[in-house]
Amino acid sequence: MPLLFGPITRSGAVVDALIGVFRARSGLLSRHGFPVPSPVRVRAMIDPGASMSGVAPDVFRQLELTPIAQVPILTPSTTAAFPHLADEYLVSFSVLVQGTPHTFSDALPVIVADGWNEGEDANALIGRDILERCLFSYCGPDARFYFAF
Amino acid sequence: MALEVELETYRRILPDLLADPANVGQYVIIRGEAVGGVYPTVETAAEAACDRYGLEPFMLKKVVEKEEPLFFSRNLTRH
Repeated sequence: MPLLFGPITRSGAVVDALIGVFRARSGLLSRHGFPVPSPVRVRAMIDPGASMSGVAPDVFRQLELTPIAQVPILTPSTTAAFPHLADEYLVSFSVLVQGTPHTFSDALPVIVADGWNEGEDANALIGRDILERCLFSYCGPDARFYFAF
Repeated sequence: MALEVELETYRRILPDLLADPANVGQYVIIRGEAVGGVYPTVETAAEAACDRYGLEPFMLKKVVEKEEPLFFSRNLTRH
């Protein structure tokens, strides 16, 4: 089980991750002689308050992916009666541990998320869909976190 | 809107899918008005969709009676 230690920064507990084309599609591209877009490196904030993981829209553009569905999402500015409909994409998701990628999933549904603030050290968010298969310890007094998956 | 036809197809066939309890919690793939099958995992559904549809867009959705909204801690401004 890969184990990652990191500092808690102004942006919280943030890990380096690689978002790539999901395996079935990358295999298909390769078999037909098409180039497979390189995985995109992101800074992913660990957030147990989110039930689903999200990634900045430019990542999907770089990977030349199209949505697989739309899912209703409640955010701080929506009401229960009118959830936001977010595009959902299928990706491969790997976490970098000391520079080495460890694949978490070859086909993970994530939503497009564009609510990143200028100067924020994150362009992706790890929610409980991923955390339910991980160990995550937030040690506030030590300003460190531990993440294993 | 992307997948507009597929969403309409999903809504139309959902009662038929739910009529078989074995389908609930599984993943359906749809392109246009055609259903490509129901599969036990996201991975198997994605493999089947790529085999069937190649590089064309498709819909992949979990079969549930009522889709409950998920929570996201940031505001979202685009689909």
